[in-house]
Amino acid sequence: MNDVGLFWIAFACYLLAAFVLSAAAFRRSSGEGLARFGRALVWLGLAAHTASIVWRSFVIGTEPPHMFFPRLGAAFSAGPAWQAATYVLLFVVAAAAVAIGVIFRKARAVWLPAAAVAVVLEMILLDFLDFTRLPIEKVYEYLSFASWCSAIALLTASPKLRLVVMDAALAIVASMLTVFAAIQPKSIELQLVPALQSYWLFIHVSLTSIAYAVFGVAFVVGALLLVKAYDPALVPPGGKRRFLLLGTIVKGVALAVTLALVFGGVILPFREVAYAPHEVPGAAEAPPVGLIQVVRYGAALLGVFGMLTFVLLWIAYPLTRKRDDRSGFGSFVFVISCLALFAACLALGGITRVQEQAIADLREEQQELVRLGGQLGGHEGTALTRQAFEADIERWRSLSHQAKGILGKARWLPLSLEKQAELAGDPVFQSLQDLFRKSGAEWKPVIRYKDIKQIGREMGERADNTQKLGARLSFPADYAQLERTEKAIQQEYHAREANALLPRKAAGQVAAFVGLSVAIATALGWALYFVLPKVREFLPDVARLDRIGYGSVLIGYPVFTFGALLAGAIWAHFAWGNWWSWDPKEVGSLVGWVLYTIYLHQRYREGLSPRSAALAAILGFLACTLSLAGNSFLGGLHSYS
Amino acid sequence: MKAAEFVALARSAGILHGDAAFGALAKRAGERTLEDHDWLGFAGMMADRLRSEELAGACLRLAYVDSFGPVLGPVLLFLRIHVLFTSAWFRLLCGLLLLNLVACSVERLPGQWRMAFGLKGSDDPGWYRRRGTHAAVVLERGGADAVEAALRDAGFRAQRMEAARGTLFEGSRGWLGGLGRLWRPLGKLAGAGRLGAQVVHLGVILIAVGGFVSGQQSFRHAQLLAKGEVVAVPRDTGGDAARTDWRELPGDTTSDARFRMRLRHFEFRGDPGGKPEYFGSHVTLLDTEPPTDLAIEVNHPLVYHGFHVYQQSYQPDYRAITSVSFVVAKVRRAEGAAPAVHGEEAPVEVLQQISLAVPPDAPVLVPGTDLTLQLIRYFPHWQIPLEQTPDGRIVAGEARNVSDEPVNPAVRVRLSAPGTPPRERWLPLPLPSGQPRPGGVVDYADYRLMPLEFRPDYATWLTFKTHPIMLPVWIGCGVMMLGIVLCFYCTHERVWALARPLDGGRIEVCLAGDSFKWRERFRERFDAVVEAIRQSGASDE
Repeated sequence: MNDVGLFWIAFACYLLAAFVLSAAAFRRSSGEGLARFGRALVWLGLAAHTASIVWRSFVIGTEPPHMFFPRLGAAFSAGPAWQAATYVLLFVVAAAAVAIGVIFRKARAVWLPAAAVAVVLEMILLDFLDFTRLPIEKVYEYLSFASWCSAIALLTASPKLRLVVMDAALAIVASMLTVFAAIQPKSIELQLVPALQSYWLFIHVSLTSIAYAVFGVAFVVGALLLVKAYDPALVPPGGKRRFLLLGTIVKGVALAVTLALVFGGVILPFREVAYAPHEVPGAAEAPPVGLIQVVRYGAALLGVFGMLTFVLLWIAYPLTRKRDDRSGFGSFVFVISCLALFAACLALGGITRVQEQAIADLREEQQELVRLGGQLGGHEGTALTRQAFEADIERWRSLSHQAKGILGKARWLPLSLEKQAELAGDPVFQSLQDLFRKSGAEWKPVIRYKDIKQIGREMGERADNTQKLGARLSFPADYAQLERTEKAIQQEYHAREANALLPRKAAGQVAAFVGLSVAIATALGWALYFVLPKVREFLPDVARLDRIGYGSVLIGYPVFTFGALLAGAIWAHFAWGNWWSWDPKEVGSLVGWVLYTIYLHQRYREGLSPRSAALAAILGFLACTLSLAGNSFLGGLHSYS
Repeated sequence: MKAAEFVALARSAGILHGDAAFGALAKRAGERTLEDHDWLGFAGMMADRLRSEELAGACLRLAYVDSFGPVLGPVLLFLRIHVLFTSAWFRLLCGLLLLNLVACSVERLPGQWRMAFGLKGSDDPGWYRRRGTHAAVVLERGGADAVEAALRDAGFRAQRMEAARGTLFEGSRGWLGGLGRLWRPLGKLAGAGRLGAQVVHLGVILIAVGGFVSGQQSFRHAQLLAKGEVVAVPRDTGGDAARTDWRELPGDTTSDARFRMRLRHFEFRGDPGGKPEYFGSHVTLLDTEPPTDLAIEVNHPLVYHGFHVYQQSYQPDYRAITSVSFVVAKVRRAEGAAPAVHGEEAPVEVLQQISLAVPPDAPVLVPGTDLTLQLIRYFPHWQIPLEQTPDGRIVAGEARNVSDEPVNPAVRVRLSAPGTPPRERWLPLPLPSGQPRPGGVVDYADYRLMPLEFRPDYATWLTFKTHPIMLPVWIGCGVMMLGIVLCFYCTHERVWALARPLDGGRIEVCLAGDSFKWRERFRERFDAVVEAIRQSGASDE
């Protein structure tokens, strides 16, 4: 059992909880027993998840775990005495407040102390940045942290709201996030690039992530609200037909504009969108057009057309809507299209991610194959026997174990050149030298805990990758067979690259991505159109949902303002020399912030109808998501992970 | 890109019309006699002239036409999308937004201030009817005490005042006002939440105006600095200062420097893949007494004499080395086999092997062995000159360095082990391109060693930047956060009541109330107060 194993337990728990809670929410008779079971599952998942996160930050830390308490003491004694005293005092006061709150069951009294404890813990953690590893550095960890936040949001909100539907919605959010975390690579790089080595990373990323999770709640609530607010009985006669007509007109306009742009040579040149770069050889002859080219180009066209339709429709609809139509049909269709598009984009993003991962895995296998071939020395007549192959795997595994053994025993890390001279006769030191020799790692003047850790992990990964090769080889394998297999692997990943659904060039890639999402979303949207109205009766009333949504934005907005914008600006001032650089991610965050500001501002000034509030919350969250995903397309200063 | 494609692209972008060299190129393209090297020559010439504004514009146009096509590309350029955030129209929009904020704040501030800190209840019943939320109850019995009790029960801090026409009550709710219980003057802040929006506006205005002015006034200069070189920051940063080189040449006498500093060395640590894990410039400030040594690192700029000095990036400087990686093997040689000769090594049996990075100058004991390695000298362009002796023989001279480029990098190593006389020799280092080079293998005592790669020294890129007028921005950030907290976390609900005796012992209670947010919830609470007062009158009967 390790961090990844614990993550999978949490993954299973959340997924199961999402099903159980959904079942509980949509039962006509009381589903309290089921709901309790669902929440218990979330508790279980949260426990495993927390253990996994703690594991990644401490156990796979940059220092041995047994050094934690000595380091804690050192950090306290290193700073000025007043600092240590303040920490202790704050901690005692906060802990006492929580204890009193819990004992006397004053639910309200818990919040402030809990916040204080969080602040204190954060301050203490800041002191240990050199010691711990922040478990939010990789995309996997970031998503996993966000799902952890949603699970906590579920468990904190549940006793207050007493709404099984909300529990179900949050469980779905948490499990979706874990699904997306699950498809990311989980390897760890123990070393951050210098720009990220700052305590602002912790403040900026963790607060932004928490704000996103809270905005996610507002998004879910907003969607539920629009579903609830839709009353099919109030749709005026001919209303749906008018909508269909408008849709058709808009589609016609969008199609005309798309075709005009394409034939005018303004967007989507065929050769660049349909082909991978290596498929377009010279300037002269036209390369053959296959199915995949047609699919890619069709997807890109559909993307532009779909986007235009979407934007035009939702500009035209409010203008042409009958003023006395109170049915909420338009916003219902809007929320369906947003949900469907969102889900489709996530699904497609997941699929492409998995494809990329498969290609990356193939490359690793190929590397091991090359290494095995190198062992044979390229001589004709030598062959790799099964015993030799297994001995090879065993060798890397034992090195990995050896690294672990050293980590458990070596009390003298980090190891400087002076210390090395003193340790000549130490068996653990000799084992360390042996590890470096056998693994081919480079001996350094100063050897730290994480260097050994890294070697151990790499050896383990090498053993795993070599093991995978076993299925491709028939023993005894001679050099020619190895070469053939290597070619086969190479062909496989070339084929995978050539058959990738998305074109290579950025503009076409975005268009095709959107196009494929539109295709998936259309099917999904129709399903939702018929399913969601049946869910309405189980939802709490509009006013209640509105309050929950407003409450979540109220919590998320200050956190986002400080964490994402202000803390980011302060950090950027010290790291990049510019507190604001109009970087794509900065602009994306600013757009999201402005949308939420408009929402709050309108509500604050003259009150906002629940439906408009829900729309604003949905749009704000979509903007945040775009800024979160924007890195992969736009690059910019934030492209570290 | 092929030459013909370039010509076609440039034509469709409509650039370089008048350029003679391009005209010749286009003509040959038309005749299909254009060779790749013609175009390369032209591209080289273009790159040389890139400094001129006109040519930079042409390149930008080319890039946009290439990426977005001949129609959309120029349109995007016309809209100045490539410099959107500094374009006039974007700034105009921002300016309008700020103007709107100022106008809005100025218009609303007096009213909000009055609602927050002023506005006393009146003993005129008409005053109550003119408020947005109001009610009136006529009680048969009871009276003033019931009003106060109802207000307190609903969570209001109630104040009671006697007026000419009856008893006045003023109740307020919200945690800010509750601070008055700790210290009375703090209670006056009760209504501050109502000004939250104005505070946020002020913060946004401070940030935007401060940021804009600071950006306009800010000065930025990027400077490349190699080991041992001195940079003299000029006192006058006007004119061409940002584009000139600030390095002091040997013999320079700079009297007019704001401050001077020397790069002692640039430190780089990275993993074998080249991914950096630390880099920083160790510099000495020369105009302090005594000179101060300090490090400029990513995330830790030097703030000195009005400048922020940032560690920006680095580039290899092949005039010196950071380390050479060797693979050292303990070997068993066949009986009677000769040691490695240049380029020809006898096969040996490898007993154990280790690779390690050796820094220059200091002797390093190879772990697990008794072999000591020392790098004595390094030349990026090693050469042995051939000299003629007076008697006409051609002999090899002393090794020397010919240039600063890594054309033929070599390192002189000194090997020593107990029981074997120490030995020195030159070793060719692998080229930075990774090309293998023969002759790098040395056999010494029971060991065979070979250089794998070497890390050059680095020259550092430092950015000198001034951040004038940043204080308003940071204050603005704080003010904005304060405003958000006031806006969304400080409620201020107010209720005014007048209990006025009517004839026949009856009492009329006029109530009015106001909240600046959560109005529905306030309305419910207000109704509850009214209902409680009504009940108190009714229950007595």
